[in-house]
This record gives sequence, structure tokens and C-alpha cells, in this order.
Amino acid sequence: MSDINGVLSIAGQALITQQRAIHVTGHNIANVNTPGYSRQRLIMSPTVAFDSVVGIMGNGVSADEVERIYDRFLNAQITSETYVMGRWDAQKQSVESLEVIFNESLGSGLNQAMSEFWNAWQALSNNPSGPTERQILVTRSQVLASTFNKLDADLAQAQQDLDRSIVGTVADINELSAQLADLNQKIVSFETVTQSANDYRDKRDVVLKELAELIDINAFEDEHGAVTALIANGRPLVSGGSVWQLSTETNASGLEDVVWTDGAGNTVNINTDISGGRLKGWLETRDMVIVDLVNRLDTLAQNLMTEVNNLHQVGFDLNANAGEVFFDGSATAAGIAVNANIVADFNLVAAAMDPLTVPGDNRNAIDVANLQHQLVMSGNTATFSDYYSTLVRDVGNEVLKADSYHTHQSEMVAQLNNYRESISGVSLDEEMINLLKFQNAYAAAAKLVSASDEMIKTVIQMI
Amino acid sequence: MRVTNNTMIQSIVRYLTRQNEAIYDRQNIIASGKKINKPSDDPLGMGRVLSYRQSIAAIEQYQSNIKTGRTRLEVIEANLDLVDNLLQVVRSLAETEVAGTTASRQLAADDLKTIYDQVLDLANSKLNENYLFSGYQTKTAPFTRDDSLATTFDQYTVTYNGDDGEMQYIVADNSRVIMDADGRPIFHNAAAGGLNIFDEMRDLIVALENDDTVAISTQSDRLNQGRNQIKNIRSANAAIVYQLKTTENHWDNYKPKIENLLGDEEVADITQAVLELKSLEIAYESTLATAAQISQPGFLNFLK
Repeated sequence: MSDINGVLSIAGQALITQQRAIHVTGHNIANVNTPGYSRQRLIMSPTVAFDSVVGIMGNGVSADEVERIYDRFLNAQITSETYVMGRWDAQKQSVESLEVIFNESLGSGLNQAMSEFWNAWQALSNNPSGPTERQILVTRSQVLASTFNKLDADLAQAQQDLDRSIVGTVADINELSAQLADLNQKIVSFETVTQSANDYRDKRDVVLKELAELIDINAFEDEHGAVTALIANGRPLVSGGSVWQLSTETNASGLEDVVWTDGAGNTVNINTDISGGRLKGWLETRDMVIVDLVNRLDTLAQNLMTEVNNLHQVGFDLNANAGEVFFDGSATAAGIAVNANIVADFNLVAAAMDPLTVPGDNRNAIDVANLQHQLVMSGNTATFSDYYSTLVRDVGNEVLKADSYHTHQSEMVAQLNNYRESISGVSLDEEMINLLKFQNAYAAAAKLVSASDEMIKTVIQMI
Repeated sequence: MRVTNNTMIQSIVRYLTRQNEAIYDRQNIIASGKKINKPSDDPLGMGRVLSYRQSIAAIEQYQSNIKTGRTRLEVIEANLDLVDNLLQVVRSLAETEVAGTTASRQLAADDLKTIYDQVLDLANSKLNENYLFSGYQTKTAPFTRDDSLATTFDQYTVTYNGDDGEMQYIVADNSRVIMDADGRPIFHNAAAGGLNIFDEMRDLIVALENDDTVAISTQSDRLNQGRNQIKNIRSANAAIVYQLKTTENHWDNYKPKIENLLGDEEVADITQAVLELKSLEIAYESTLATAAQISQPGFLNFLK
């Protein structure tokens, strides 16, 4: 009805709607720095028009819904790129800590310890009965053995550290899964009553992204608005309000494996199925990279032990007795040690070839010293020192590889985040302009009220 | 593209992080003077650095071995030179005494007994507490005069207590120089067809004491042969010294080359690093200036 009250009612509706729009603008401004927040806007539409004698007349504005500006496919992409980034981030961090263990750039390390060991044998050959030369050889051999031991212990320590990170991450995943299930329930129950649980959805996206940093996540939304998250080769982690817990269990090497519990309560080891997130990076370094390095160090220590011992036992010591083993302990980097008898009595170092040629015979010492140049490693193609240089080189390559994947991937995620920001991010300039716009509309609507008021007064004064 | 405040701030944070990393790298290079500070800086280069370092350590050891070997030969040479001088004295005494009197021959015999002991001492020379001429038996005096059986000088004999050992020195990868440490070819070579210097001297002394002119003349000749026996050993040793010197020269030339290669591989070009650091600092400062600009709200300034 196109009467004065009708104008007043349009004005009233307009005041309320513009005020709501200012409210939404205010919400946007307030959340300009909230991670994962998607800007919102008030959808306005003209109210139902009525048919008058002059034709269809509009009946003012109404606020329909608060819409969240958002690209759901973009978020799925961010999730999947995030777990790849999480993996390389963790792997980069962890191999960088290994690099410190093998850092030979200062010239102290296994390479030098080996050089000094061989040189000590040569020095002994220059004076086979010399007590100083013998003592230096025993000391250098102990340094060599303890350098092996230390490398192995450092690697074991790195492995333990990663193990603890893995256990902690599994707890974090369970925590985030619970949050995800909780948000699922809130969104579903909220959206059956009203239209869109905008802020809960933003929060859920943040939780999904945090999960994706930790483990490979494949997430999709069902028709009720609940998200199902699958991990490690399609195993459900969260579906609606249900959570499948992850836990850890100690394996044969004393390290923790990640296990998933199915609906019936059976546990499944998912170590090898995990394909992304920090868990993947840590598992990779702990179970592949470190294990490989330890094996190679063990091979080096074992071959060194065998070759030196074989020659040493052929020789004869200063008492004209056959040489004992030079290195004993287990044939690993962790176990190699200089025979305690030789440490206690350096006269047991067997420099001679024959019991009758003691003490001036240095031929056995020379044979041991010449092991330095013998191709005894890698199927008789490399010397001890070649073998170790290759190992150090490979550690450097691991770091370079993880670093370049990480740089590439974080650039990718940054680009996607920029893209997301360009769609969903709050621009303060934009919001300020909107604020002005709504403020002006609000002022005009108020003017409409006073105009109606004057109109009514005019009518009353007519009487 | 729609650019929001957060887009700008995030990209500034990213650039600052990246620039900081680059600045940190250059600072490391300048502080350490090396361009390879960790294996991942250049994995292949690190491998070469390790192998050069190992070569240098090995060369230094070879140089030390060669020096030890040369010292040994120099000490032997000094000793044998002294022995040769003594034998020369003996021989000229003998030549003089061919025409000497009974009295002068007695005096000469007494002089020779002292020289005999001196030569015996020299044959028992030590280096670093090791006997030089006893083969592998470096803790056993090679030559002893068997006093227990002898009642008169003509019964003196010198026994060799060593063996046929040798001394080997590593002078290069898998290559060694061998020196004979057996004292017999020098002093005590009768069994191998040479001369026993001690017996020849004893016989000369006995001949002088017995006033036997023919024997004195014979011994004078035989002692001359003894000098040749020692000369031959000395020239063989000279050949070994030459070999050691050549090898030493080789290492003296070779080591700086490897050190250069090592330097090329790991020593940083500091000038370049400083220049890079400067230009990075400029970039860093401009990013900071930009950050200060955009962190002020744009449109807000124009309201009111």
C-alpha cells in the first residue's frame, strides 16, 4: 500500500538492513588478521512488490543471508599441496640436523681420523720399535674408533629425536581429529536451522590445513555439510562426528610405528601408507635416510676392522708373538674398539713379518699403512676414504634435494594462499568504502523517516 | 588480482625471510673464508675437498718418511766416511811400515789396536737407539769382539749378531724404498767372497808384531780392497739418496698443486661475497622501507 506508513516501513526496513550491512563490515574489519577467515557480505534484495493502480511498486529492501566468499576447490588444492609441503619441511629440517653430524668442512671428522690413523702406521714403519710411534698409533686408533662410535651415537640420537616428534605428532593429529569431528557436528546442526555456519566452516578449514601439515589428508564434504577426512591410502580419520584414533606401537628396532585402529578395534600399521605431512618427512628420515647412513658406516667400520685385523694377525709384535686382533668389539660403527690388550701394552702392535725379524722389521706396518690406497670397498672399486667421501656427499645431496622440494612446494602453497587471499581475504580499503556506502545509505534512510514524519505532520496540520 | 593487506604483508614476510637467509649465507662465507661450509653447499665439491685433504695429509706423511730415510742414509754415510778415513790411516801406516824397523812396527801395531776398536765402535753405530748395521735386530749390537776365547790378540774374532734385515720406507702410494740394514757386506763379508775388515786389521797388527814384511805388504793391499768394499756400499747408498731426493722434489712440487686445487674448491672469493652482501643489504633495506609504507592503512588516511 503506497501510503505514508508504507514509506515509513520502507525506511525502517532500510535502516535495519544497512545497519546489518555495517555489522557485517565491522565483522570483516575485526577479523582482518584472523587466520583462515573468509570475508562475508550481506546479501540484500528488494522485498516482494505489490500491485498498485500505477503498476508494480517496490516495497523496500530486505537482508537475505550473510554469505561467505569462498572457493571450495581452492581449499581442497591448498590441503593437498600443504601435506606435500609439510613432508619436505620436516624432511629438510631433519636431514639438516644430520648434515651437522657429518660436517667435515672444518677438517675434523672421520676423514681426518682415518688419515691420521694411516699416517700413524707409516710413522711406526719409520721406527718399528719406537715407543713414541707405538703410543701415537694406539692413540690415533682409539680416536678413529671413537669417531666411528660418536657418529653412530649421533645418528642414533637423531633417530630418537625423530621418534619423539612422531609420537608427539600422532597425539596432535588425534587432537585435531577431535576438533574436526566437533566442528562437523556444530556445522551440521547449525545449518539445519539457519543457512550457513560461515565462521565454523572457516575454522574447520584451518583445522584441515593444520592436519594436512601433519599427515596426508584427502577431505570431501557430504550433503549435510560434514567433512570426511581420509588418510594413508583411504583410511578414514574423521567422518561426521566419528574419529578413528591413531596411536603408536614399538617395533623390532625399538622405534615407534604409527598404527590406525579400525572400527572393530583392530590395529593396522600404516607407516608405509603415509604419503605426506610432517609424519612422512620424519618417517622417511628416521627409517630410510638414517638407516642407510648407519648401514654404510657399519660397512666401512666392518671392512676396516677386517682388513686391519687380517694383516695385524699375520704380523708379529715386539715380543715376537703373533699379532692379536687390532680392533675388537662388534663389527659395527657403534662397536668398533681398539683391542684393550694393545691399549694396555703398545708392544703388542705387530709391525714385523716374522718372529725372527723383531724388532727392526717394519714390513707388516707398511702393509697395514698401504691399506689406505687399496680398493677394498664397494666391490673393490673404492678406498676407505673414497667410500666415506661418497657418504658425506650423499648427505649433502639429501639436504639439497629436501631443500629444493621444500622451496618449490612452499612457493606453491604461498601462491595458492595468495590466490585464496585474493578471493576470501579482507581488504581494509574495500571495507572502509563499504562502510561509507552503508553509512550514507543509513543516513538517507533516516532522512526518509524524517520526511515521512514531516508528511504526517503536514497531513495533521491540514485539519 | 585482488590484493589485500594480508597478501602484501605475507609476501613481505616471505621476501624478508629469503633475504635474511641469503645474507646469513654470505656472512657465513665471509666469517669462515670458505664457500663450502656444510656438505649441502656443494656436495660434489665437498667430496673433492675431502679427497684433496686426504692427499695432502698423505703427502705430508711421505715427506716425513723421506726425511727419516734421508737422515738414516746421511748418518750411515758420515759413519762410513769416518771408517774410510781410518782405513786410509791404517793403510798408509802399513805402507810406511813395509820399510819400517821392528821398533816402529811395534808402535804402529799399538796405534792400530786403537783404530781397530774405533772401527768396531763405528760398525755398532746407533740412530734413535737403533743399531744401523744389524738388520732387523735393531736392539742387538751387530758386531762383538769375542774376548772370552781370546788370550792373545791374534785370536780375536768379531762375530756378526744381526740378520739380513732391511729397512723400508713408504715414499709414495704403494711404493717403497728399501735400504739394506745388513752390516756384513760392509764389514764382515768374507763368507760372501768379500773381506772381513776386522780380520784384515787383526792380521796386519799380527804381521807388524811379528815383524813380517811380506805379510805387512799383503795386508796393506787387502785393506785397500776393504776400502773399495765400503766405497761400493757408499755409492749404492748415494743412488738411494738421489732416488729419495727426486721423490721429495716431486712431492714438494705436487703438494702446492693439490693445495691450490683445494683452495679453488673451498676458499671463498671474499670480495665477491662482500659485494653480494652489500647488494643484498640494499634489497633488504628497501623491502623494510616498503613494509613501513604499506603497513599504514591506505584509505583510512583519506577519510575525515
